[in-house]
Amino acid sequence: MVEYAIETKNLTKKFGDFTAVDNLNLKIRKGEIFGYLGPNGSGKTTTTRMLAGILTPTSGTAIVADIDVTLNPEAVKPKIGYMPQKFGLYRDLTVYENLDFYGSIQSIPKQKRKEKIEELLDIVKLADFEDRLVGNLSGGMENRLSLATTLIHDPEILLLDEPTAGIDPPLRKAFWGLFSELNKKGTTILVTTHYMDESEYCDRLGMLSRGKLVGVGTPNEIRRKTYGGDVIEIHIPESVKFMEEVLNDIVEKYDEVFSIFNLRKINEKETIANLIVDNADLVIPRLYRFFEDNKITNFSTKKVLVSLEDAFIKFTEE
Amino acid sequence: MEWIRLKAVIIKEFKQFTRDRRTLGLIIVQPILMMTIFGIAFGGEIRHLPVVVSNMDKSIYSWRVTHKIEQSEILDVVSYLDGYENAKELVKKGEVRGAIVIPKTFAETLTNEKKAKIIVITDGSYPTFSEMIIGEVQKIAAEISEELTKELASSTSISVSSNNVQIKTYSIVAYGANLRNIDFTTPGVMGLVIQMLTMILTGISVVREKEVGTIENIVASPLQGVEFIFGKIITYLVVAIVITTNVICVAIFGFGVVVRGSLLDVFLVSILFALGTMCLGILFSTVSRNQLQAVQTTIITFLPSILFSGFFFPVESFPRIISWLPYFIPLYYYIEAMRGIMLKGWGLAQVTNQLIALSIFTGGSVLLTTRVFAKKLD
Repeated sequence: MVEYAIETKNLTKKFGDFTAVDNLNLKIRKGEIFGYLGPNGSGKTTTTRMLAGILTPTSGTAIVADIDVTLNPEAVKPKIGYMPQKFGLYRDLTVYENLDFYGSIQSIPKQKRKEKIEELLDIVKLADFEDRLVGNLSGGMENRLSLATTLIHDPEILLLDEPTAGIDPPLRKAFWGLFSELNKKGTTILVTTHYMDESEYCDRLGMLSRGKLVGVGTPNEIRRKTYGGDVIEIHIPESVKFMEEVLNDIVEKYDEVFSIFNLRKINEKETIANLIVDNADLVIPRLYRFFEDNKITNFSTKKVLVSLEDAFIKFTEE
Repeated sequence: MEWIRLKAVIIKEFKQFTRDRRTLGLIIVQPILMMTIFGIAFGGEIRHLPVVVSNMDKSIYSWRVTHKIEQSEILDVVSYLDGYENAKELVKKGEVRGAIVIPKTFAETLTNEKKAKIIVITDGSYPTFSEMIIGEVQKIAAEISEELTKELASSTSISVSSNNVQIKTYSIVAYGANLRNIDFTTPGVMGLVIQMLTMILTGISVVREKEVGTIENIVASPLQGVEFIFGKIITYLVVAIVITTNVICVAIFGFGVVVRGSLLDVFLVSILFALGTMCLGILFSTVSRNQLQAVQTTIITFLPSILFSGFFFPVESFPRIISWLPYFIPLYYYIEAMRGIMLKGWGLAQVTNQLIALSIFTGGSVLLTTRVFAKKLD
């Protein structure tokens, strides 16, 4: 029993001089939702295409559903559901006809195909539109249909390239609800996105920058990795100069306080600063004691939740 | 190949096809339009018709005739031989367009009676060529008659009027006469129309999927490349049958062309040709990056098809340096076969070579297409 649904070793894709994906070592566990994040052009689509067996890697290997995609791309195809970033269904066929076509080329027998299509139309809420030409669908409907076609053969792995791009927030939420349901049934999902709020729904995230994986972990791990520890915010009704002295004392005194950043004045009498600490829950009580000992009153301090947006920017700018 | 998947592609293609009104118009209206335009328009200048010369007389007079024939721009002497029947046989086989026979008595009657005859044998199934050859030989005969008359007058100084030399031509048609120019050009026009329409239609079919992006879903699915290609070919074959029927109907009912052979043979050969050009179109479509490129490639093939297929100029008269070109042009085989069946009443057995060549084109294109079509985006 292999633990990973997807495992790449030094997967590399070059287009001429440009390296789109650079020695990627990605491990996606069976049954997890893996969020693949990165700015435009960082290699998300290239990776997804290589995993789907439709783009030949320059070097390296990729095992998807226990099959080496680089050696046997066709064997992978029945096991995956791939949703390309660019909408690729037939606009001159109806919703139902598209699903029927994709069901047929997955060799699903007629009766079963029919049942499956009805089921999927219900899930993606397109049952009322089954006879509509795809060319006349709205953007959100297109995405829903596109997702439905990738699900028609109950694939064990879903490779979704920006499935929620350009659709409205309620629908995005519905999509993630659907992903989570599929995931509960055991489907492994790799989903690329650049909506940071969405990445909260993922079990683990991979941050991609210029073809390289720069950060991997659960959303919380990613947050911690962003600054190398927890972040605390301190507010004191004193001058900047005073704050600086106090904080320097703190950094010197406590090993678990690593550094100060973002020291800024609100007005002449109020100052705010951030501290990076090992464990906020342990450090905050100590800070209280320190302020008491030094007769500083009216201060306040709290743990800051690092946004994934900050994490994303921090990871990908380097 | 699996039937369920192949069937899926066929159904999809059919639906897409019938929903596109412009394309539907293309297969119904275009054949009629193009047949009419080409049918009216074509009738260009003809040169270099291959002929054989049989000089049975071998006198100084007959050498003058053969010398003039050699200098003719219209006639191209491919060989000399001796005899009448064997010359006629060459014309019948279609190896040359005409034979010019100078009888044994040429010099004798010329000196004794100041009269002589030249026999011109032509292939009646190529009326234009026939007329051209006969006309050219008549011109030569008249020139020599005049020259001889003058020479005679100056040497004898006798009254000229009674001493006119007359060399006459007798034309013999190897195949049935009564063919109009349109009977002769129509097979070519039919082929050209079939080729243009099938290639333009299929030339877009694969590349459109690339351009619109639907190919990405196809290559990521378990559908095999052969299933994808064959699904398209089968669909377009039905379309090709419609086009071909249309074209043949215009030829017969519109132009009233002669069909001496079997109508079924005309139809079968046309379908085979349509299949071949269709597969060629699919091949072009597969190797093209976008629709524009595919259409351009298709259009580029039309010029050599018109020039080197024997449509205007007999291929036998091509300079050696390009004499191999027709063999790479499907239209050449189609025109040969069609002229045989329609004008000479040949059966399929007599056009076997052409059928084999067309089959090779069809099979070759299909094989290449399935080879070239990769289930990849790179």
